[in-house]
Amino acid sequence: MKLCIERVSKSYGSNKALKEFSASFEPGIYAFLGPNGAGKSTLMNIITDNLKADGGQITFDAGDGKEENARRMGLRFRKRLGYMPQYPGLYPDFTVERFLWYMAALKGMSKGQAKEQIPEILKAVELDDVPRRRIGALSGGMKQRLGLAQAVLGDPDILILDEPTAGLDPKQRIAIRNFISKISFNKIVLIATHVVSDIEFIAKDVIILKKGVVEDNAPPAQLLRKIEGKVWFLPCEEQEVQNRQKQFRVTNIGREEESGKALLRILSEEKPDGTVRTAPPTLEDYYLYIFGDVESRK
Amino acid sequence: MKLFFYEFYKLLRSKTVMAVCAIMLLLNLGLSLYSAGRVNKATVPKEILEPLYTEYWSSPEKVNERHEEWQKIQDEYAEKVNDAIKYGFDVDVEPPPPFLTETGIPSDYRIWDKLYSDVNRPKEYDDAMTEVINRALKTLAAYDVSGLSHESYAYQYQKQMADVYQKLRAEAYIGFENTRGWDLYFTSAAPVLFAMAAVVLCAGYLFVSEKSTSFYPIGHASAKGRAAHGTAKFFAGLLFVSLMTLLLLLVNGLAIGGTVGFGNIYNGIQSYKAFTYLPYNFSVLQYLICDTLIKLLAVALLYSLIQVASVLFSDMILSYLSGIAVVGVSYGVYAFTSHAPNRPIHQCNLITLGRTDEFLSRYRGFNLFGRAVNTTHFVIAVAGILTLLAAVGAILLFSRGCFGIWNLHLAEKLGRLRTRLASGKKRRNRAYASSLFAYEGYKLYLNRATLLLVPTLLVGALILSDILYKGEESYTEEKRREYIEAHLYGEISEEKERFIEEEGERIYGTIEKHKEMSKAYARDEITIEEFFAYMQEYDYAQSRKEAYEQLREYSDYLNETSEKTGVKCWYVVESGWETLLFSGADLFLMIYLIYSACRIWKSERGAQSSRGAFMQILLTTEKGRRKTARSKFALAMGNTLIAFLVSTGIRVYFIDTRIGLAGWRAPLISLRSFAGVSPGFTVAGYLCLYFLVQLILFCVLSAFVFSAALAFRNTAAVFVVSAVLLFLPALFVGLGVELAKYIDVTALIRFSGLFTAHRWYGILLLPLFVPALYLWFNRRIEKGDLIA
Repeated sequence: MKLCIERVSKSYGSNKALKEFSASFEPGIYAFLGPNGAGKSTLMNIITDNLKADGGQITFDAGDGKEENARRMGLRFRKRLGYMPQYPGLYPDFTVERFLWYMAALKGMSKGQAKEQIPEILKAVELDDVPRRRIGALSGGMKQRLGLAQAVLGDPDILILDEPTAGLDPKQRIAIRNFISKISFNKIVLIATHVVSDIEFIAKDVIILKKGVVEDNAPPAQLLRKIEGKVWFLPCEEQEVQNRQKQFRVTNIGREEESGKALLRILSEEKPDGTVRTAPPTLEDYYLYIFGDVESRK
Repeated sequence: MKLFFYEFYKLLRSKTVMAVCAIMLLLNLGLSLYSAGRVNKATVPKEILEPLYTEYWSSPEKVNERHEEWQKIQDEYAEKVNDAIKYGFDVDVEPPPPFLTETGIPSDYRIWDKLYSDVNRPKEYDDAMTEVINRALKTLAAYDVSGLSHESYAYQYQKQMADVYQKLRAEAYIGFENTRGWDLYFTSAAPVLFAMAAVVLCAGYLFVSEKSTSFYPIGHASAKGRAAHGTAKFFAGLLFVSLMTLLLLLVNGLAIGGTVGFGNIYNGIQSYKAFTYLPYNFSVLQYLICDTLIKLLAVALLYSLIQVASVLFSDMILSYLSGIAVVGVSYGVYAFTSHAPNRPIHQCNLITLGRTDEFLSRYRGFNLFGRAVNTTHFVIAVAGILTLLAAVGAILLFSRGCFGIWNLHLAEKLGRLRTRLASGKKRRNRAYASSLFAYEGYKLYLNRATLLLVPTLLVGALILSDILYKGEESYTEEKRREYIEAHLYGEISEEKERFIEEEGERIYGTIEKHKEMSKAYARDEITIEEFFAYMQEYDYAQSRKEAYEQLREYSDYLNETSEKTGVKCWYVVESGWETLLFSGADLFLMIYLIYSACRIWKSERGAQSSRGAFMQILLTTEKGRRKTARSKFALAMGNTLIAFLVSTGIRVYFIDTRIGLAGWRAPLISLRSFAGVSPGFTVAGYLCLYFLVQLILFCVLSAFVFSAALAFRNTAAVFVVSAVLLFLPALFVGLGVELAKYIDVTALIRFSGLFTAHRWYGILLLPLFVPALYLWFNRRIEKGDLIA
């Protein structure tokens, strides 16, 4: 099974949201990282045929070695698709359970399949205690989990999740991450997110998007290797912090327990002056390395 | 004061409130124009009456002489007709030429009748008062004889009544003029009912919006966020609903003034027959002020009660249901006791209070702890006190933090009940429907907006039908109906012809003998008993003469048509069928259809994808495109069918029970309005065609709005634009803009008017709907371009 995106572009007026994007996906989890406006949601909408691309094409090979244009496949492609948009608009007057049954009807599932899958999914997303609650009465986190539940319903081959953990507390975030990881076997899972920790340990490849262009595309370990030796811990006095922030790209400010000094985590190509030690890089460091942050200037 | 203005500004900025008010104003304008138009048709135009009144004002003797001359001509004509019937000559005696007008329309009889009813009004009023007073005095005398205490309720009541009407007989001023307009204005129930509907729909918004915008905790924590805030809110709303009521009354006044016109505002209100027994010596102006104030009181009372509910529930639906309950129960009691208007339960009622004309129509009293209390004064006092208490209650509850307390209480109770019901039972996994149609239906019907709108429209439709299909008819119409129902109903026959001829002989013969009998009585040639017996017969003849003439005309029409077409016509009561077949552009039904066709797409088209539109998910599913669109379209059509059946059912029920719909097997040409149609049609056959055409047009209308809501993202804008396109031409036609009739969809829906006039210009509108049908069959829906 293979999903290929070839030179896909999309503009909104003069604003180019996606510039000749190309990538191919096989079963596994793929993460799209990028700031707001990078083109992640536009790409998701194009893959799901919610939006028509200005150019390029998306092809799908179901495993029989025959590549077909996804848009032309239409219904056959959508049968394999599960999608959770960034802001899933759910019907406030439906109950949780009724909504999933409705989704089952939309996905063409049989009653038997729906009856079997719905309780399992509700349990997995921890909504099994509120099946009869109106969606309008759910909290933001619950709605987010219901959005995920509808996407995975029907066991789709391609799962597209746009910001799936937005608005969740840490415990729920971990549970959802584990759930996605668990169901991703033999599926193409595309996740667009800002939250680096969500995909750090589960993504097969991370695609960094910047202003509609792929900035990088590699497995997390490979990305981390690119900033090895560029992340430092720098202890300093509290009054020095502001100066250091002007000097370096500071990714975190902590406190050294023993000396009581401020402990800055900085990104720098060269070793900074003073008593410094190297730090193990994380994907968040790499994200900031690519996109920078507003407060610090190197 | 500043807070008051801010609260008033908030109301003006609320789109929902303004939309409801605009709809109520439009409905009110439409209904006022319709009622005034109907009355205007039955009224002698003032251009004809004014010269006659002026002439009578300057020299009444001259006008009286002309009237006598006309009467003489009429008597001679009656004599000729009678001779013709008696001696078997040709019955079609040439009627005398019109006396007062060139065309004979309206008839001389109607013009004289109007003039002399105004001329004789003071005497008529005096007689009516004398009769009431004498009856009361006689009753008092009987009480005295029977030794009833002067302190008793019955004695006091009769005494008060005699006093009130004696004073009125002496003081009431009735000036001679062409009385018109005011009686219709004061008896119009529509403005106050629309005002109440607006209050029911919007009053809850004031306090509930505090919760929906989450401003309540912020406001409640500020210095003036409690009593001052609550008071400002309450009075801003009160001012708003009062202004709205005044506007509705003004619109009604303008509609009546523009069509029928108004009489002198300084004349006594008793100049109008409808106010003969009004127990106050008011001029029209004074009555107008009193009427307006009482209507405002009724609206204020309803408003205050809903405010209490809205504070206690802090929920729009529950506030709305409270309002519906108050108005619904009041209207129910009002309707069920309308046969006994003097009963206290009928008088102590919000609807009676709001209608004012019934409430003030005569002196009424009731027994309050043995004392006779004037019902009018008592009800006004109670309504005032209740309004005040409710106002204080709402403000206090709001400022004391009881906002939504009942709602919490209810929720808690319901929660406990649910737990109790669920305990001991193992929850089974429930299976739901797998049909998309069912889910679309669920989405359309089970949401707050629909649950709010449908009962409102239903209650509105029932009230409107109650007003429109009253079955009130003139005396002549009543007698004509009596003739048909008792003697003539069914196919024409010789026996029925014979009956008509015999009845004619009886009527004209009796009238012709009047002078002869009077002279004979004067010369003592007949006894008083014989003369009384004759006079009874004479009254019978006079009272039926006009009805008989109309019946004769109808009979001639039926015979002539039967002869011409070879189809045996029927005698039927035409008014019921004509009312049914010339109506049908049901405002409430059309509003509902536009709403539901928009609502079907609301969940998917209602929001931008960045704010959460389900359309994004829908389009990625197997059945989320064409199948969903088809389910939605099928639902739109099914919904149209159900709504049409309900609306038609209500209409048919009211017309059948109030006016009558007998003779559905009769040939359609038995109804004179359908004189020119093919003789093969029966009433039932045409009825099927008529309903079918209406149903198709409503389906096309739904399809059009449905497609527009699909094509444009903003369903609210589609609703407003569709409503304007639909109703504006009809409104212009009502205002006399002739050109608008070419684009009047409501005329097309009423169908019979165009059918009988063979005017098919309404068909020109149909191509407008073709793109609608094309749109949803289009393959682009499947590709998603149209929806996405």
